[in-house]
Parts: sequence; structure tokens; C-alpha cells
Amino acid sequence: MHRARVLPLLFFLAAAPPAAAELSLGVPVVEVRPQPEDETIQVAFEFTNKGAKPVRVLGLDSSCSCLSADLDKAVYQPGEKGVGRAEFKVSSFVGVHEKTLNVQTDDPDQPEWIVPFRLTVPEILRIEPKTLQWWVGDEAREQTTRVTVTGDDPIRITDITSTRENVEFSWHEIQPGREYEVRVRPKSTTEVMLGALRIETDSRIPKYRRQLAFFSVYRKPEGQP
Amino acid sequence: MFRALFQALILGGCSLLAAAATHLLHPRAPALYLQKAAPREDEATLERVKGEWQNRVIWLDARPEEQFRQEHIPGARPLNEQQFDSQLVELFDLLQTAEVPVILYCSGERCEAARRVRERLLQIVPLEQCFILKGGWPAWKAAQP
Repeated sequence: MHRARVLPLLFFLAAAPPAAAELSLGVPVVEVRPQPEDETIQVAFEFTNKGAKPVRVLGLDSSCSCLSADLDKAVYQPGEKGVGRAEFKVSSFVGVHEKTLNVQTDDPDQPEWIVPFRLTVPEILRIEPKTLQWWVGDEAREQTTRVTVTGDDPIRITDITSTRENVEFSWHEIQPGREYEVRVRPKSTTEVMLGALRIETDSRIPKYRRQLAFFSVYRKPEGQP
Repeated sequence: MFRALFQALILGGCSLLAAAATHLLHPRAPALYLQKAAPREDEATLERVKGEWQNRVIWLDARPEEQFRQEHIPGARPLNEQQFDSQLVELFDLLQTAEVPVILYCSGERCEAARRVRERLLQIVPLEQCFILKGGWPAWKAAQP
């Protein structure tokens, strides 16, 4: 080809503005709503390349070890819809958890596309407070934690044991299958002690059959009132 | 021959011009040099672990259990979000007598798991020195001979 024709073409190609590309979800956040008994949950999400040039997916990275995902293709043409599949390990999560999937692309304008997920795991049993705390040298006064069944089905406490001997505890049924009170008192606060109460229940869901409430006698950090 | 060389020079020049223009005009042009971000308040670098603490720390691995089983920092114990309660109970004897810093790590720089595990841990055990390894597992791995 003659130089006079090639050079203007090269200048045009070099100076042409890059076409925008953008992977975009159809919803602000992907909602994930497992049942209390679910150990894992899969969810599919749809997206579109709303840009004017193809986008190649270079990699996926997640903000949580509980989240793994893949996309149905590696390259999405302009206007093309895609589907992603995510799997969450629910395990001991309870309540609302915000997680993200980070998709690396070859698009300099969108090198990373962030897919937000909201995992909402129903709480069926609440222990409040979860930790009872004394400082070393404090008076060894009794403290109370409350076990409340917030799910539809009643759950009964069948037994409570302690991981430490240097603690006295007792438990009382306030409302059968619904509400319990656990009273705890360290025998001494002269030394550091970290321990837990193992709360056994008759829940039909295996992961709720043993719950833990913590107690600690610890050195008061500097600056703590 | 000279003509081809001339054309190659023209092509190279065009590419350089285009690259320079892109860098000047791009709203999110990267820096031309790399700079190490300073550690956050809750982070500790591997250099600090080796220097200031002479490796006398308690390592806690916040990655999933299968990754921990595959490989971990020697002496590290698992403490991840998914099995937090049951794994913490196993650590009580160690933490009860701990007089050295506790360092948590997870899969990478952007991994937030170690930070969340640290928050939960400090609610139960108010450790005075508890940090997240800057750069996580990859930083430790990269520093190995």
C-alpha cells in the first residue's frame, strides 16, 4: 500500500477514541436468601454488556472465602446478555452480610466490575450478649445472657456445659421453647480465663443443636474506663 | 531497506504519541511508578514481624479450612469466619497465656476476612496487639526462599 494512504489510516487508528464498554447488572444488588437449614445456596445473576465494544473477562476474585462464582462465557459482545452463577457457603452466617465478586476485564475503562451480593440468613436463635466479660481483679459478680428463639419452631435447651471449671452457671426456662436465661459467675477473677458455655438444643437443624456463649476474665486494656 | 526502517520509525512514533496522549487525557491514568501503600493501623508488615517481633507471634489463618489444610504458615492455627465459634474454643488455652502479638492473615490484599475475624476476636478477647498481615498469604509466600 502506498505510504500516503497508510499513514493517515495509522494516525486515525491511533487517535480514535476508545469505544466505551460496560458490564452491568440489571439490579442494584444480587439478593441471596437461604433457609435457616441451608449449608450452601446457589444463585444466578444476569448482566449485559452495555458498551460498544466486546469485553473479555480476565479473572474473578471474591471478597469472601464463602463465595465462589463463574460466568457463562469469557467474552461478551456489545449488547450481549450473560449469566453468572454464585455459590455461598452459608455455614454459621446469620443476619445480613454484604459480599462482592470482583470481575477483572480487559476494558481499561472498567478494569474491575464489582458485583454486589446481599446474603440474608434468617436468625432462628439469638444469644445476647454473646460474650460475658470481667476484668482481672473485678468483683466476681453474676452476669446474665439470654437465649431467645426467634424462628417459627420452638427450640428447647437440653443441657449446658462449660469448657472451664472456674465458673458457676445455672439456666432457667422463661418461656418453654422460646426464651431462656443463663446466669454465669466466675469463681475467681484473679487470673485470665477464656471459656465457653456449650448450649445443647433439640433443634431439628444440626448446626443449631450446639451453640456457644463465651465468657472471659481478661486484663483490662490500657485506656479502658 | 531504508524505506522499511523509516516506516517502522513512523509506526513507532505514532504508537508513542498515541500512548502519551492516552496517558495525558485518560481520567484514571495509572502512575508511571509504583509506590508501596503504607500499612493501615490494624496491619503489620512481614518486615515488622521479622524485625520488631523476631517472628515471635501467634499466626491465625483466616482462610477457608481447605486452603489451611493445603498449606499454611508454620505454627499457624485456623480461625475463619465460617467456623469461628468452634475454632476459637480450640484457641483459648493459647490466647489465655499469649504475651506476643497475634497476626491474622487471609488469601490476599483485598481479602476482608481477616479484618472481620479480627473484629469478632477482639470482642471476645481484648488483645492489646492483634494485627492483620499486610498482603496476606501471598506476601508471606512471596517472601519464602
